[in-house]
This record gives sequence, structure tokens and C-alpha cells, in this order.
Amino acid sequence: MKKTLFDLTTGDKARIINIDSDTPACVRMRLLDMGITKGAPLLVERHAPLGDPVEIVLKGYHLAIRMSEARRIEVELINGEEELPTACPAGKRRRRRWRRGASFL
Amino acid sequence: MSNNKIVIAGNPNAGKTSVYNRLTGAAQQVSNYPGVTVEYKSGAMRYDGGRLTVVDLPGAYSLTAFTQEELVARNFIVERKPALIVDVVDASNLERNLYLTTQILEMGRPTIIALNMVDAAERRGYQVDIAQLSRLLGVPVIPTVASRGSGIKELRDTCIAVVEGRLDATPTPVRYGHAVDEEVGALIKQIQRHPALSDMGAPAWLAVKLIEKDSAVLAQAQDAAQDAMQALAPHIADATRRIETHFDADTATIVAEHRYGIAAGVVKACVSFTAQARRDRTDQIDKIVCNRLIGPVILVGVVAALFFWVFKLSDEWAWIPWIGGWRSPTGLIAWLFDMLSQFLAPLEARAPMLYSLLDAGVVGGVGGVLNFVPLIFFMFLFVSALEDSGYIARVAFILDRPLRVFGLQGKSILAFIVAGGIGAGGCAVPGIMATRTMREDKDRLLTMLVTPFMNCGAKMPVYAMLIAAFFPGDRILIMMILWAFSWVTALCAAWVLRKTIVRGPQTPFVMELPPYHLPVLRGVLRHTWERTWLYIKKAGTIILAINILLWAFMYFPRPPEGMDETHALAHSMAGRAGKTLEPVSAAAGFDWKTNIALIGGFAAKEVVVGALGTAYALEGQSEENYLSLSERLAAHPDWNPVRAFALMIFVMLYAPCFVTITVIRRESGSWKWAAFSTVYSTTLAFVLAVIIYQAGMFLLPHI
Repeated sequence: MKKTLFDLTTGDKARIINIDSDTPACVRMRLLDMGITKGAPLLVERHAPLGDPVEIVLKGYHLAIRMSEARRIEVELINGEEELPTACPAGKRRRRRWRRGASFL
Repeated sequence: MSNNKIVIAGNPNAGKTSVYNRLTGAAQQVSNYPGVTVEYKSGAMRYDGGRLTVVDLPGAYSLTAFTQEELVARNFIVERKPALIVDVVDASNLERNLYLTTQILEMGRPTIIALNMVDAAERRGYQVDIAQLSRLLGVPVIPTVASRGSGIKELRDTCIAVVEGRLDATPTPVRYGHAVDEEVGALIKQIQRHPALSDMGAPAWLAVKLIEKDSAVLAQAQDAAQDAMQALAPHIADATRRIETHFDADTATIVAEHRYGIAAGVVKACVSFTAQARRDRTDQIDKIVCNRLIGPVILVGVVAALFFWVFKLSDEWAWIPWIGGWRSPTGLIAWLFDMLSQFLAPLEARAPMLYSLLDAGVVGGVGGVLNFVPLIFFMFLFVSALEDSGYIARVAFILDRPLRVFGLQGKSILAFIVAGGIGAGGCAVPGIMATRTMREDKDRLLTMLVTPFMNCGAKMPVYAMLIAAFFPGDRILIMMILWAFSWVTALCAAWVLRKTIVRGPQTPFVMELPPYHLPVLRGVLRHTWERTWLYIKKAGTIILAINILLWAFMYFPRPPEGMDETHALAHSMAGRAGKTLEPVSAAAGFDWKTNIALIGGFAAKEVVVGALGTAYALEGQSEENYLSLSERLAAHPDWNPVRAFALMIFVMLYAPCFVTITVIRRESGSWKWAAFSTVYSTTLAFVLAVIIYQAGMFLLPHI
């Protein structure tokens, strides 16, 4: 099964594989413009109080993405494999799944 | 010099406006780009040899033009062909900023890069090799810290040198790698054969845009050079197809990824990490501010403080020393207009009509406009400080999910709160202006349309009068019901509008959470003053005109001699309209006298109390006397609690006062939405009032 940004938890590191091909052109372009490009590493920094949107660190800056868009971003986990350039060290992060509880909204 | 325009372009949060403020003097102009609500500022930069016009373009992440800001920025560069582009690049966020830079360089205009916030980059442990960066991009690079003004002199001097032709700042062509470059090169040759096309902008830029299948550029090219485009179409299609087969992706994606590839390459070549990037201040603050439990509490605190201080400083707290004691800014303005009114008083006996026009129409109208000025000023002061600091982005982050259920977004909350969403007081005028922090047009429009449902300060005298008359024991309960009613109506209306009228393609919500900055006082004050002045200037003229119209509506035609105030009002156009509407409004329990008051309420909702007072023949119609009116209404055989409650709901929801309508027109960019707002809220208010009245009257005998 494909893994997307939607499936990641706080503290996960991942590499972007692709943006879903049936994404509308304007959404895809927006994501590309903000640096969601193939092969780019990212770190899941946190989720908003209700589990959505998700905040990621990407290309050295912080980006908030709604789960509806996060679902379109296919990723692969790279936990522990490589250091993110410019991202802050992950340190002792508690890994939680907020999202589950709030998915009824 | 034929062309003396410098444009400042760059990412949002890169410090573009700081650079602009540092380069230009105090005098400036805010212009609307034709057809869209996006504004840009222009000012003058003077130097020994002359004067340059500096234009601050809206912040953009890209020039692919999916948002209005981007389209405005791009069209400005393409159409006005500025002598120089100053690209403000955030050194602490180099890679993403360079993505825009590649697009700017591609446009082929002379460019200077202002490498801003180099101090923040150093704090985060990066060192940028300026000379190397300049060599790679082919344009001058000036390191700056615009918020402190360092590097600005060098930037000025370089700008002047480029404009005067002493320094070459033409960028080196952007290279996308062999496979793409070959197609671009071939297409450039084709474009150069058609003068109509090569006038549209740099051929290299146009070629890339055509390959990217940029819909806006394609449409423009079709308009400008239909024949040329017809000739070119097969070439473009071939080039696109070849690239797409080569990379197995669509061209727009390929070009974007290559641009990021270039940006990454430049970063690799120019940036050295001098220290291990440590967790900086922003991360530490966000750990608390965006925390799942503490975050919302802080948010409520910040928003409540915003609300408290805006009204405290502008209205409640008398802190300005003045003749006859301390006054609040609003109080001071009221005092000035009182004085003016007293000055006019001798006219009353000699020329009653002129007096009435000047006093009620002109002084009342201008006073009504200026009354809002302190509120707007302080609201903008705090909101722009919050925005500059980076906190507004966190508000949007925390509240996005709950508000999206209703088709709104996190930032909508600011408008609601300022418009009176919590507790008593508030005003829809600054509330609607607070929607400026939203970049998504649809969300913004939706917020503007439902913000007037909040219980603003002007509705309070109406509530107070009716509660005192009919619910003296349940004051707090009724206020709570009204408060909840306004929120539920606003959210439900937003939900329905989103599903019907404000429908459209979903705007992707992909938002940067910029690092926290201490707001620069100078910049915040300047921004605040610009906005306030714009309000005084633009709204003032329209509001004055409408107020005179309303005055005439309640003044003409004059009754025969010897008629008292009540009958004069009944005789006026407003009175006649009130009577004409009575058969309809009776369904909600409103008689013609109430109708007159509600018509007057278009001017400002607190007028309802005064007008009801006049209609029910009272001495002294100001809202301070509401108790006497309350007693009269409580004793009146036509009135009962159900009717009073229906009236309160109607006043809460019906057409926003015309100052609000004018502001909606300004902020939405068209009278269409202002008119829509008036019609739909009045309809909604009437339907709900009828339901409440009819149901209440049916149930009343059974309770």
C-alpha cells in the first residue's frame, strides 16, 4: 500500500515520491511551488490540535498542509537513515497519533 | 530616462515591505490593479540625479500565477517592463526563495538581489557566499537586514547605478538541463520571428511558459498574436510531447522540479554551514503556542486581549488630555462634532431645512465616518503587529479544522471577534477589514458576508432597551441566547453559502509558518496609517452621500404647518415606506413605526432606538433615554415579549449598516457583493423573525 503524508506521525522523516496523478492542476502547482518536489526530504513537526492540518519542515522552512492535500503526497519513510539538511534535530519526540481521534470531523 | 520604475518582488515574509519602506519616502500611493482587489503601493526614491518610482508588488511564492497576487506581480513585470527588479530573498530560507528568483531572472529584466535577513541566517548557522551567488545568477547581490536598515545604502547605490546604465544587471539565462533547454531554444527562435509575440516579454520566458502550458499566458498570447500562435501551436505541442515522454511527467511539474533543482544547486554552491543548526527561538515558541492543549488557550487569550485593547484604547478609556477633561479618541471626535453641531444651532430658527441637512446629513454623516477611525486604527495596529510577528499564521493553523467544517478558515476568527463575536461591543467595519490577512479569495468573501451577524456595539442599545422592557428578570439569559444565536446563524449561513453561492474549486490550503519576528514599529505604524487614511478618503465620500440620501428620505416631503415630530416622520418618504411595508412586516409583528426605525437603522443600528422613540412620540430620542421608551413599550397593548424577541433577532441579522456595506464593497471589489450581502441578510432576518413571531404567538397562550 502506498504511504502518504497523511499516514505519518509526529517526528517521522520521509522522502517525497510523488504527487497523486489525479490532483487538480492548481493544487499540484501550488504544492510544487511550495517545494513539494520529488525526492525532497521532510520532517513531520506537529499536527494542529484537531489533528489537521499537519506542519512539516521542508527545505529548511515550516509548512502547514491540510490532510486533504497531504493524502495526495506519496512518501517513503527514511527514519534514521539520513539527517535532514537545515531541519532541527528530532531529539526525543513523543510519537502520537492525534489524527485518529479527530477523524470524524 | 523613459523608464524609471523599480519593482520590488519577493516571497511573502521575506521582508519585501521593509525594503520598500527603507527605499522610499513618506509620500506614497496605494493603487488597485485593474479588475482585481489586489493592491500595490508605489512611492518615490529621490537621489542626486533624479527620482525613481518604486513599486511594492504583492508577495508571491511563484509566478505560475495561480493566485491573484502572483498574477498581479507577473503582469506588472511583463506589461510595465520596469527598469529594474529588486528581488528580496530571505537568506534564512534560501532554497524556496530562489525558486521564485529563477522565475524572475527568466523574465530577462535587469535584477538586483537583496539578500535579506542575513543576520537570521547566521543565527541559524548558515553563511552565504555573496560573490559566488552573484556569479552564478549573473546579477548583483546585496546583503541587507532591512528591519534595521543595514545594507540599504548599498542597495540604493546599486539600484541607481543599474538604472543609470553604469552597472549591468542582466541575468544569465536560466538553464534547465539539455532535454528542456533544447526545446526552449528552438521555441525562442520561432517566437523571435513573430514581433507580436516577442513584445509580450522575454522570448525565453515566453517559451518556457508556453511549454508549461500556462493558461493565463496562452490566453494572452492568443489575444495578442492569433496568427503567430496558430503557426506556433504544432511546435509547442511537439516540444511538450517530447519533454513529457522524456521525463514521464507533465511539463509544468518538470519545469517546477528543475527550478527547485537549480535552487538546490545554488544553495549547495553558495551556503556553508558554520554551526550545527540548533533549535531556534521560533521552534521553542511554537512548542508552546501550537501545543495541542496550551495552544488554543493562548489563542483565546491573545484574541481576547486584541478585542479588549482595541476597544479600550479607541473608545472606553479616556486617555487624551483635552479641554474639559480626559477623553477617548472616539470621545474626542464626538466632542468635536458636538461643537460643530452647537456652532450650527443658531441656523435652526433661520433656515430649518439647511440646518437639518447640515446637522443630520453632513455633520452626522462625516461624524459617523470619523467615529470609526480610532477603532480601525487600533485594530490595524494590533492585527498588523500580530501578522508581522508571524502569529496570525499560527491562528490559522490551530483553527483551520474546526472552521473548515463551515467552509471558513482559521483566520476568519479574527474578523468575528473584532466584529463583536465575544461579549458586548465590537464593530463589523474593522472586522471586515481584518479579513485582509486571508489570501484565499473565496474564504475571505465568505467571512465578509457572515461577519455582520456578530453582535456589534450598535446593536447593544436596541437589545438593552427591549430586554429592559420585556425580559427584565432574564437579562443575562437573553444576552446569552442572542450571543449563541449570532454565532450559530453566522456559521450556518457560511456553510449554506459555501454550498451554493460562494462555491468553486477548493483552494489548496498550503501555508507557510514563518519564523517569529519582532514587528518593526515603523512599518506597522506606516501600514496602519495607510489603511486608516484610505478608509477616511474612500469611504468618507460614499458614506456622506448615502447619509444625505437617508436624511432626505426621513425629512421629505415636509408636512403641512403645525404638525408635530411624530406626524412629520409619518409624512416623510420613510414613513410612507414603513406604512407600505406594514402588511408584509406584520407577519413578523412589526408595525409601520417599527419599520421606520428599521429603515433608519440602515444608517447605523443604534438609530433604531432613537427612531422608535420618535415614532412612539417621546421627548429626547437619544439612546440614553431608552428606559423611558422601554416603559412605554412594555405598557403598549401591541407589544409583547415575542414581538420584542423577533425584533431583536431581526436587528441582529438584517442588512449591515451602510458603513459596513461600503467597506464590503471596497474589500470585495464590487458592489455586487455589497448588494448581495444587504439582500440576503435582510431576507434571512425576515424569515427567521417571522418564524419566531408566528411560532411564539402560537405558543404564547399555551405557556
